[in-house]
Amino acid sequence: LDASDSVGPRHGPERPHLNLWLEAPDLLLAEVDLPKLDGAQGLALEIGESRLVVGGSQQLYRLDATIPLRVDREASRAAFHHRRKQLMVSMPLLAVS
Amino acid sequence: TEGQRGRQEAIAEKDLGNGFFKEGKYERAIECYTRGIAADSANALLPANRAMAYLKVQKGDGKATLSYYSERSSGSREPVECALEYEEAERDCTQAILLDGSYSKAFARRGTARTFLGKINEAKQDFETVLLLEPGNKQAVTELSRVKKELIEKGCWDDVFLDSTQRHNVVKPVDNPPQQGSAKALKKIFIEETGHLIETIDAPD
Ligand SMILES: [Ca+2]
Repeated sequence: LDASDSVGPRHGPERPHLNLWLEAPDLLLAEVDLPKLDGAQGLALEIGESRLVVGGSQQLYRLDATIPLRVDREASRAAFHHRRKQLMVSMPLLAVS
Repeated sequence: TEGQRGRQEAIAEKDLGNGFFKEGKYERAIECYTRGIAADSANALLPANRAMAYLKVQKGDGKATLSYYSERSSGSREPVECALEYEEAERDCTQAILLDGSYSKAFARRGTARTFLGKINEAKQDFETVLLLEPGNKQAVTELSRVKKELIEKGCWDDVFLDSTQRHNVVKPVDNPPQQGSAKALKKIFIEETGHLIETIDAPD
């Protein structure tokens, strides 16, 4: 058997589709399509002040995006939606001063 | 005629009630609006104003929504003993809306009443209607944002994401090349699980 036939990490992680929109003047929402996943196990999400990083899950997906807004990491929340196979991310924005 | 007299009486009671309202005498204002409603049940201003007085009587000032949220976050008390006035306010607003479906203040007041009653998603719909009737209404924009954050905190992800009407406000991200983004100050976010498939029940009948 030729090992290169197997689908896996050696092909490199896929960049998932990302929807990013302002739901309110101070609330940024993101949706990341992860159709190959069955749950949040192994999925990793990290948020920086202007950065969104999705990884883990046996290197199936990798997203590293800079966001042109300042988000409040501490107030950010996320959920994996089983039916839609999406990662939903809520990111309140830091007050503009 | 009888109807004209009723309408005039209602307007007089409304003006009287508004006077008490401005003096902070909300209970007396409510009495006037109640008499006004009895005189003319077709006047939308009277139930809408009585609703506002019910909201005020509860908190004594205009910071009703703010105190609601601070109470919620401290977890100290549920607004149960106050529910009667909020229910009255909600009912009055619904009546005002039945009489005048474009009465944005009635939708805004009902939204406020519903946040106190814990009907967060219904409150969201009311504030969304305010924005349809009055695009850019600042109170509605502020309240909507707060209500959406509250829904997410409660785990009601679908009510915010699936029902979103704001997806056109696209923000364009920039992809970082591998290893380029600064690793400092990245916070790991816990991932909740939601939207489970409905499991079929294989139980014998
Ligand atoms: Ca819904």
